Formats: sequence, structure tokens, C-alpha cells
Amino acid sequence: MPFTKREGGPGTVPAGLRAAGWAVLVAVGLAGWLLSMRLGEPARAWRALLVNSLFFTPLAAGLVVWSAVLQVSHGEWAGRLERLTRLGLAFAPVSLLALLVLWGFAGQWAPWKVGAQPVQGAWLHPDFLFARDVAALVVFWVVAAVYVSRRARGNCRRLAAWLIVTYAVTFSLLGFDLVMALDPTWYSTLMGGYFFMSGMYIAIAAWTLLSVHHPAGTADRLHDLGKLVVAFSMITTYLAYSQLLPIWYENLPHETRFELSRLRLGNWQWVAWGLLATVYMGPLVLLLTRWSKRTRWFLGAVAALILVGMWVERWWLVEPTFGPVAGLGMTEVTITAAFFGALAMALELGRRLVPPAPAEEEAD
Amino acid sequence: MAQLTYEQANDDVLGALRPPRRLYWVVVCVLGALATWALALWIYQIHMGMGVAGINQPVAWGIYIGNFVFWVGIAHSGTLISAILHLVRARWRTAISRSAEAMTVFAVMTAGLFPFIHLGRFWVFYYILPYPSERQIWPDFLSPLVWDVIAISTYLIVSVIFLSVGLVPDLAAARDRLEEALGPRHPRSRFYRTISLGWSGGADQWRHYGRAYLFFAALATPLVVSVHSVVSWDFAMGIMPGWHTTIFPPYFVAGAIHSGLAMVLTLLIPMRRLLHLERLITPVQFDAVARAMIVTSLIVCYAYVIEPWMAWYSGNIFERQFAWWRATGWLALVYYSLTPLNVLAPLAFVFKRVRQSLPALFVVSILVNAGMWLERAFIVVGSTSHDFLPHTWRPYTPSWVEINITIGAFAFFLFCFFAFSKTMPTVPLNEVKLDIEREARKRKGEAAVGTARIERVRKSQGGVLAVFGDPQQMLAALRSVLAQGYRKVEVYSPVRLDEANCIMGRPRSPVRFYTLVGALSGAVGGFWLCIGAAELNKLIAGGKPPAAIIPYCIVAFEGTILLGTIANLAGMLIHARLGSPRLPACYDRRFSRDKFGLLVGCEAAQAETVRQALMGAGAEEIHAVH
Repeated sequence: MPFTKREGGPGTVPAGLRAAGWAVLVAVGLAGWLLSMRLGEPARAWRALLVNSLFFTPLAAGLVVWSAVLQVSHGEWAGRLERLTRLGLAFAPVSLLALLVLWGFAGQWAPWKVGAQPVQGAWLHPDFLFARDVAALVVFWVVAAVYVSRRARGNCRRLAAWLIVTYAVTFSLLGFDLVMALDPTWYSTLMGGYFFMSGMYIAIAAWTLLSVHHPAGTADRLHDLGKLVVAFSMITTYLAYSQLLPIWYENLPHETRFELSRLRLGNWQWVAWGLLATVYMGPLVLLLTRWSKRTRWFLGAVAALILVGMWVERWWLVEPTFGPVAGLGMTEVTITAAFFGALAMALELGRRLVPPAPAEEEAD
Repeated sequence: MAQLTYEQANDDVLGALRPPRRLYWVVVCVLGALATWALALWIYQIHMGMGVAGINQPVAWGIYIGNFVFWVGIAHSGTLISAILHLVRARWRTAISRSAEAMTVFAVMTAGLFPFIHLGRFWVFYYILPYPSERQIWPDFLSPLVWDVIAISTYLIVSVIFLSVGLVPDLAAARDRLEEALGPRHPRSRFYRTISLGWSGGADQWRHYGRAYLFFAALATPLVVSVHSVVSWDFAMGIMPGWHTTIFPPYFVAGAIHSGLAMVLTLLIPMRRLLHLERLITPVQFDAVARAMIVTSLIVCYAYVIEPWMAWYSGNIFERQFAWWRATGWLALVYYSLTPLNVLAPLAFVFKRVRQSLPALFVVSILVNAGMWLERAFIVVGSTSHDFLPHTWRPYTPSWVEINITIGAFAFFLFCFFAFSKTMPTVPLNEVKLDIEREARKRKGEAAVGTARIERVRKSQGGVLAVFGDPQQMLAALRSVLAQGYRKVEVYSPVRLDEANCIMGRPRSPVRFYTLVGALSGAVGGFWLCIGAAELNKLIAGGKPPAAIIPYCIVAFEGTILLGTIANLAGMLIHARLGSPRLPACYDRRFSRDKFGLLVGCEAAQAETVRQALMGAGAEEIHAVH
């Protein structure tokens, strides 16, 4: 059964008009971004594109993976809310396009110069790096697409398990390649794990934000979502701390360069304190009470705060490698607006294309 | 399990406490002898010195420390099954959770022995404890070994509390059964009466118990992650090749849960048969454990792949040569055995036929146990025997003393588990009954939340006690008497009935405030202890500031969990009025088995009206209470 108008979001605005509005936002955002690139620093503009790719791609992919997690764990508590997660599939073309554009213009921004990495050699050749990342992302989205189509016909737990494994491998690779390798002399075995788990955190916050506007988002379901948000904030914090502590402890120059540039140098340290207060420790405090998890507006506000915070966290992962001064400007705002519009359009499209699963209707 | 009645579940679980057969005694005696032999060898080691062990430079940490890591890991599955799966409402955990919790406690006890054994002169262990000595020497809270002491002690205390609290309603059932069978003066009856703390199954007790148990689970869940992370930091904080890597905490935690789940299978497959628990512990539970092991084996596999790849990627010559040595040196055989034992063997569980075959499950669990023990020993020994300086590279062979003490540790663990299985209910009876109740009802809708203000029935006051066989009838009777204006009521139940408290309009338990205050005090206290000691010592070690907040988070976190748990326990004991073995005068022993009691406090003149109302509601028996 297709979503009713009310279920689709703000019921008073027709879907076509909403889609047009998002398209305008995309166009304006892209135009602003191109203009800022022409007037300002092109490399920074490309990095802003990378930041948004690293935020919105795990968001959309993680949404679909949450559906798979529910399948594998026999979780039926979400009812029709589960369908919201599968809408993330519609963002696949945008995520791939962004990566292809980053590949195409790698010469203008990427730190990997051909023949300049004596240690990693061809592994960090820009073409090889992007080719494997694009290939991995294509494989992920194909598995996700097959999963979503099978899910519409019923349970498909085996495929769901494969989707989770594919997600972990793909997004570990993206984390190692597009975050860790931005500084080719720095390395951490945990970066891949941190990247894919924090992607799930972004996705659960996004799912929560979508759910508080959905009629199937009952107090009990919002309560469960709130608990998951807290759990994933703690997991993400744990992984960030696990990476920080051994580096802080050993104090080896080739390791501390990553943490120092984010925690001590320039004004990035204030960003770090802000992240600690919002995305790492914030949810545990804000969502401690039962009321906070069952109240639509409050839970939605916390989810929105986390999403904003996690965007900043992606920016904080990328930018300090290239400079000690944190500065947000038109470049970052415009491309983020374009990605946001693209995600909203994709979700609108997904509402039409992604069919509900039989069990979801029964659960309600 | 769904087809069982309360009484059958009672008989199955408590029937396991019957006097054991000869085979049991033979096994326990053999295990006890092996453990005693290990104790004798420990004394021998103390007498002769550490030279009788194979550890020597450069391998100063041998299989004693490997054993420590392995046994801490084994402990993890108990908390996973009891706490984490409780939070995510995975019902399959019910029948095996108690055994897993007991396993946790005994595994932590076993693990805790090895630092002492490794220490040599173990009586100086108190140097590492944070206590106010007259010499004003405080431990350095920057040391991972101090974190270990704090984390493992916290884990042991929390695990014991978690296990003990979960046991209380079941001990009451054992008490009532033994009092009926042996009489109230029999020593066993007295023993269970004392340790059941006066549990009567009153709705008010269940209210505080349920809330406290939830908080125990919520506190134990991050604790379990922290404990093995702290253990992993014993290595990751070292600069040795192969040790200093950021992935160690989640890798150790996943490996710990992996080995712990394997141990659950190893123990429970034979135990369910020995204790005749086949109706409660079914292949469904084993299937779920096997599925969980697929996940943990994949995480372990992820770490196995990332480690050598990152050694290559880093370009660090020490990491690269160490990775190469692991694959080609004298430990290569162990290295190559890890993937087949810890990854490929449990991945056989993707096949349903393997998951449903008890012999196959048992064999794979043994393989994983062996593989995880080898992995722990490999991590400990490998890096120390092949570090930065080629002229110090030496192989290591455990001595006969180390091998025998290792075997003795397994015997000690199994001895404790066997002893537990015949003295305590190995299946959480109250949770089994709750599952039976849920299955029976299939939730016809939440009970309406009442607004009546309920008063406690005083001991001196009379009333009417109705006994019901069906909880729904009892709840209907409760609604009826409340509608008639009676406010002094209490409900007795063998199972947690949240509806009873909802109908009576009782608020949520105040235990949560105790927990919050305790947790906050622990966090502040942890920082206070570390910063205070640092200010007193004023030591600058490794170029670090004397008071360093980043590592002190560990101590503060453990303090949060420890004091939060203790405060939670105190809140539950105070509000549920537990401690004294005395029971309410109207208490009926069947209330812990399969009957439900509704006590209505009233004046003598009203007794007949109440009696009529309760009879009309389907009460099986009516008693006047004076």
C-alpha cells in the first residue's frame, strides 16, 4: 500500500511541489558552490564536496543497513517505520556521482600525487584509490537494491546479512581511503571501523528524525529509537576514545599529528569540545530520561542536533589535515544545501519507488 | 518451553538441585584434585622462585598472562547474554542466562588468580591498591596495570551482584520447595531462607526488583566493553610491534564474546542433559548462540585482515618485519591455526544443519576455545619474543609448572561451575515463568493505568487473602476490589506482573534516583581520586602532565559503574524491604510456584463483602487473615 499524503510528510504541500522545492535548493546550492570555487579556494571547495560525500553517503547507506539489521535480529518493533530506512536506496546515484566527480577532479584537490608515496606505492595512486572505492560502492548499492526489492516480497535474512557485511567492508575502505589516507603518513587500524560504525550512528539519527514526523512513530517506537541513538552515540564515543588513548599515551610524532591537529592546534580544539558536548556525550545526557525519548519534538530536536554535529565531525575529520584554522563559509554551506536537497529529493522519489514489506503492514 | 506450566518449570529447574549421583561426585573430585594440584604447584613456585616458570627475558609475560586474558574473555559472554540481550529483549536468552552469569563470575575469579600467580611475591599486591598509606604512596593512575585492577575488581563485584540479585526470586522458590519437602528447620531450608532475603513476590517487591534489574543490565553493558578494552590496553599502551595498535579494544571485546559464547556451548550442551533441563534449554538457544558466533567470528576475521595490511601500509619497518615474522617464525604454526579455528570453524554455523546438530556445535565450540586460547597466548608471547632488537629475540616454551597450573585453572573453573549447578537454580525460573505468562496471554492490550493511591497492608491489620491459579483472574479481582473502594491491597506472584502495579497506580520505582546519584558520585570520585593522587605524587612520567584527564576517564568510568551498581542494589534492598528472612504472615509457599495471592486489608465487618467479591472473581481459595 502506498503511503498516504499525510504519511509522506507535511501533508498540506503536494509531493510535486515539494520535489520542485528541493530541486531549486539543489540548483541554488550547486550554483553557489561553483561560484565560491571560482571566487575562493578551489581545493577547499572540493574538500567541502568530500565532506558532504562522507556525511550523506553513510547516512543513506546506513539507513538501508538499519533495515537489514532489523531483519537479521528478527526485530519487528519498528512496524511501518522500517520502510523509511529503505528509502535511503534512492540516494545511491547521488553518492556515486559525488565520488566520480571527486575522482575526475582529484588533481585539483587530492593529496595523492602519482609516484609521491614511496611507502604505499600504487595503493594510493588516485586512479586506483577511486576505482576501488567506486567499485566497492557500486557493489554495496547493488546488493542494497536487490535487498530492497526482495524485502518487498517478505523476509530475506540471508541477503540482509550479506548487506551488512558489504556495508562494513565498503565503508571501512572508504574510511581508510578518504579520511585516513588524506594524510598518507598517518595510520590507524581503527579508522575503518570508526567510519562505518559512526555511519550507522548518523543513519539512526536520520531515521529517528524521519520517524518523529511519521504517523507510525508511536511513543514506544520512538522510545526504542531513542535508546538506539544513545547506544550508537556511546559506541561511536568508545571507538573515538579507543583511537585517541593509545596515540595520546605513546606520544609518537607520526601518530599524534592526527589528534594534535584536531584537539590542540588552531581553533579546531573548540570544534572538538563542541563535538564532545553534542555527538559524543550529548545524547547520553539529553536522552537519559524516559520523557525525552518519548516526546516527539524533543527527540526530533536531539536527532537534528546529532545530524548537524556529525556533519561537523566529518568536516573535522577532513579539514584539519590541510590547515590549522577552522572556517565555515559559503563554500561549505552551499554544497551542503545542495546535498541536503538531493537527499530530500531522493527520499521523495523513494516514497514512490520503494514498496512496503508485507510484515510492516501487519505489525501496525 | 511455551507448553510448560508454572509447576512444570518449577519442577524442572528446582529438580536439578536434588542430591547428585555418583558420577557427579567422581567428576567434582577429579576437578578438585586437579585444582588442588595447581595450588600445590603455585606454592612450589612461590617457594622456588619464578625460575620454575618458563618466563624469562625477553618473554616476561608468558602463558600466565595469556590465561588471564583468555579467562577475562570467557567472562564476557555471561554479561552479553544476561545484560545486553536483556536490554534488546531477546527472549531466547532466558533459559541460558543464569548459567552464563555464573560462568562470568567463575571466569573472572579464575582470571583474577593469574596476575597473582604471575606476580611471584603476590602478597605485595596491595601496593597497587589506592588506599591512604602513611607513606603517602599512591598508585600511578596513568598505568594500565592500575586500570586493570580497577576494571577487573569492578567487573567481579558487579557480576556477583548481578548474579545474586537475579537469583533472589528463584532462591525463594527453592526455599518454599525445600520447606515443604524437608520442613522449615532442615539446614538446607534454613540456608535458602536466609539467602532469599525474605522475598515474598509482592507486587511492590517486583516493582523495585524489575527496575533495579534493568539498571543492572544497563550498567553492566558498557562495563563489559570497558573491561576487555582495558585488558587490551595492557598491550596497546606498550610500544611493542604487534601490540601498539588502535583496533585492539574492539578486537579484544569481540574475541572475548566469541570465546565466551563458545564456552557457553561447551558447558551447556552436556549440562542440560546431566541436569535434565532439556525442556528448558532447547536447540533454539544453541541455534541463537551459534548465530551470534557468526557475527563475532566475522569481527575477529576483520581484525585478522586489518592487522597485517596496516603493518604493510604503515611502512614502519618494525611492524612490517614483525608481521612477516608472525607468518614465518617459530610461532607460524600457531598463527596459521588461528583463522581456521576462530573464523572458519564457527562460520560453519551459517549452515542450519550444523547449528542444529549438538555434536557439531560442541566440536566447533571446543575448536574455538582452543583457538582463542592460542590467540591470547600468541599475542602475549609473540611481541615480547620478537621485539626491536634482534640480539634479544628468543623463543619461549612454557614450563611444566605453567602448563599444569593452566590445566588446574580450567579444573578450578569447572569445579566452581559444577558446584554451582547443584546448589543454585541454573535456569532463571522467574524469567522462564514470565515467558510462559507472555506466551499464554499473547498480550491482549496494556492494562489501564490506575490512579488509586494504594496503601501498604499493615502487619497488625486483618484482611482477606484470595488465592488464584490464573493471573488474569487475579488482576480482574484486583480491579474489582479497587473499584469498590478498597485501598489496602497487596499482590503476591511467582512472576513479575507489571499490570498489577499499573492497576494499583503505583509510580515507577525510585531506585533510579539512587542509581543516578551513585553513578554521578562514582564519576566525580574517580576523577577526584586520580587527580588527588597525581597532585600528591607530582610525577611526570613519559612527558605526561601529572594530572591527565584523558586516561583518568577510565577510572572515572569504572567508578561510575561501581557506585551506580552498589547504589542501585541499596535502593532495591531498601525499597523492596529485602534482608530479613521473615515473611508476611499471610504468605503461602505456593506463591513462589504457581499461585497468585491477592490480599485485601479490611475491617472485620467488611470481610464478608470482600470475600463475596473475590469468590465472584474466580478465587480458588479464600482465607481470613488476622
